[in-house]
Amino acid sequence: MVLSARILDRDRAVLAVLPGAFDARYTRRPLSATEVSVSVPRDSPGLEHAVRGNLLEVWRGPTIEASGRLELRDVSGGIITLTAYTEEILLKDSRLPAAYGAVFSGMDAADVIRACLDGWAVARIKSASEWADTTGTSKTTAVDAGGGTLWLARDGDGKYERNGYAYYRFTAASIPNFKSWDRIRWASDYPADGLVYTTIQYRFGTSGTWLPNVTWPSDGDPSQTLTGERGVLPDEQGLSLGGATNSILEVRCNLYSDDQDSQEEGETGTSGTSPRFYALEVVARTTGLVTVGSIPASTGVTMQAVNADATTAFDVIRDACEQAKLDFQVLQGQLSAAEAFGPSLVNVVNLVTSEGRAALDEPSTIEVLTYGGEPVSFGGEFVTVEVPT
Amino acid sequence: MSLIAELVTLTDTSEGFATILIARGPGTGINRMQVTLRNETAITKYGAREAIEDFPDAVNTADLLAKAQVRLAEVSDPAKFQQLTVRVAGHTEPFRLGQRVRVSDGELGFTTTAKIVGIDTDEDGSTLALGDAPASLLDVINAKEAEEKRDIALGLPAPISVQLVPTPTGMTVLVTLGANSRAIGVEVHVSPVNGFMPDVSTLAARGPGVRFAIEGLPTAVRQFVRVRAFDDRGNFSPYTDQISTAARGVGTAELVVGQIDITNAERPEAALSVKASGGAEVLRLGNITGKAGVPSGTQYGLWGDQGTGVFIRGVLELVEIGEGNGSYTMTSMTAGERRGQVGITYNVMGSFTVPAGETWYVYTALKSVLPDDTTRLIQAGVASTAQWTSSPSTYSTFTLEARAYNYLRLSFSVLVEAITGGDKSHVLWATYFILRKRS
Repeated sequence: MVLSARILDRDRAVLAVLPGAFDARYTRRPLSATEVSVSVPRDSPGLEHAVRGNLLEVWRGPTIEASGRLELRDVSGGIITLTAYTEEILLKDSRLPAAYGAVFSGMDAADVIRACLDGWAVARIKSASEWADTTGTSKTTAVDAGGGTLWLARDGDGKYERNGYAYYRFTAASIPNFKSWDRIRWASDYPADGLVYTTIQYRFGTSGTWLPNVTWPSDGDPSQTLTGERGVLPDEQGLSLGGATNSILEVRCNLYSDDQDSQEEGETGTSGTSPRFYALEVVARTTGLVTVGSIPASTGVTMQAVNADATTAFDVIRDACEQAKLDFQVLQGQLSAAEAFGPSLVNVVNLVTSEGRAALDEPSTIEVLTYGGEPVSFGGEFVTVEVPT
Repeated sequence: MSLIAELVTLTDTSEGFATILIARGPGTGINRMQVTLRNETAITKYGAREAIEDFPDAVNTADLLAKAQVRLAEVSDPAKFQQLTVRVAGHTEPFRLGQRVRVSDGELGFTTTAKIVGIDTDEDGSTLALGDAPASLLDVINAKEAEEKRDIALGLPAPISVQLVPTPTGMTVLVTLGANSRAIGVEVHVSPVNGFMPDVSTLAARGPGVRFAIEGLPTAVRQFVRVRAFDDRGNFSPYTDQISTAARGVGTAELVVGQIDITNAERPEAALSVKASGGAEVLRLGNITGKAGVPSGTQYGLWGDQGTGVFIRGVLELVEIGEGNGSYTMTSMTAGERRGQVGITYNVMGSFTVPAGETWYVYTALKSVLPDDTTRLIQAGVASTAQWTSSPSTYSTFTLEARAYNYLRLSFSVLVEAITGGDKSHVLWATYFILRKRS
């Protein structure tokens, strides 16, 4: 079978076939992106397409053997050696948002793998200038303290208002390769003493009812009506948006205070207490470079303690596969996860060592393979076997 | 001062290279400033590659943004990710770290400046690691060599003519090289894909000569052919434009079972075309955008020039459609009187001929009557005075046999009733259409 190398652009259109390619090498290891290399004469036609980021494929006859993204070129030896890393490396270019592990906790490993194939984009409001840049507001103020926070405004007597809100607009058009809205996350005060409260609401579009439209009374005397989502792990899990694809998302930060009487240190009058929003984040999903190939519907393994703090999709998928005892590979842009790739070869292949102890009449009945006179165990190990020429 | 040096290493790597930078300020989790910067130029060229970096000393968003911009400029510059080392033989003035030197390599064809970032010296000489070159040398070399190849190829013209002769199971390709071409042979590429780009998988024949027999092709499947010449130094000419044919199968030329695909239908020339001997296109099936009379916004269809038509034997075709009127006046009517009038006529057509083998059907109908409020229509009808009369009715049909006619005239008959006394003038409108059937 003739060995050939092809260079593809990032959309997988074939740019060049390198007929003079030689010395093609590749390695495969579980849960890894590994090297694929090939050497070509410097005058090979189409070599100008061999630029960083394009894809390299190694074919043997009509079958693709390995593919990867070009990462290294070397002209030191008078020829050009192209080195790629297998396509799993594409997953290393996709970064998860900060503190995202809670989103995956409790999910089946197969679902986590699928969820990591699209990218993420984060829009965060943190600094005072960002808090001040509202789409609409009532009785709130941005304060340049603690890296930027949102507070209730004070009334004419210098007391904090009982409630107020500010809302912010996020547009799909401002997010490259936008695919859907993922979740809203926020960091804010909601202490247990029942004096101040914060909630979040959202709507798709520039008008209409804010969601969730849930109300309950505050603990104060007199109490007031609180509206929206208080959240559980709001700065990690936040509020899921269910993969909506609307072009406009508006998020509203509600602030409530039942304390207008307490004195701050050094004050002569009373001013009460204001809750604060420290950060607001909208997470969107973007179209990924890798699509779903063959991934089990479920693995029966529930993900626990997922480390996903601004890590890469590759790392999370590797963790998921390790927990589910699977391997994964990306070939021609599709990710597949399985215990093994390809059918069992025990009835087809008989690897006979130089010791020759396993030479049997029927290759399909190999049960014991010895090396150096000792039985060979394959349990979780790689065994190199020399085949005499 | 020129020193003899040997290129030891010229590589580039993507380790650490990024085109998108997520910059994070002080803090933890989501409670920290974060900006995402994109180098769109680099993304277009090298793809989206994200990196994340913390700037714990950023004091505000503007500061974080400024720091991130500086960092992104570094990590998205491919020149920063190349390794260049040269070996300088013998003893020279000692090099110092940070010195800039000029490096030239005649074989690779580049000259650049770079900063000494590493020195290894022994008894035989020094190996210098160089960095901070202003551009990616491999990209420079690639671009330069591609340009040279194009220049060389331009000096070797493509074959000036290619002809295809279909055979029962393939085709014969006849190639004509230019009279002064230095080509020593040609490559023939064949593919069933319209608009294909030749590569090793499409190479069907290669060698000296001008006549190549390509066999083993499926019949009735159109094959596209491009040819290029090569010289004795391995240079190739550009490819010819593609031409196509299909293996004709056994027997005379005919369309056999299969299909004709016109792909890339958006292309202006994607159509079946019929042309007159003068070259003017008279019929076109496919992309008809821009053809005379085609409404704006219509891209695909069947277009025919003036003088063309669709003819299907035994199917009625419209000859003409129109309307006309005739008037009449009845004098001295008394109230309640009913009076008939025949022969209210108008001419539909002048002289004409119904050709042999055709039958024309004339359909007429009174469209409207315009009485004033002093009369009302009791009965009306039409007839062709050229051949027939008919009883008054509001519609009528008749047939014209194959022969020559001086005219076709419609004649109305009406019966009206006067409501008041006096002279009564009226106008009758009639619509008609004529269909013909070829036997």
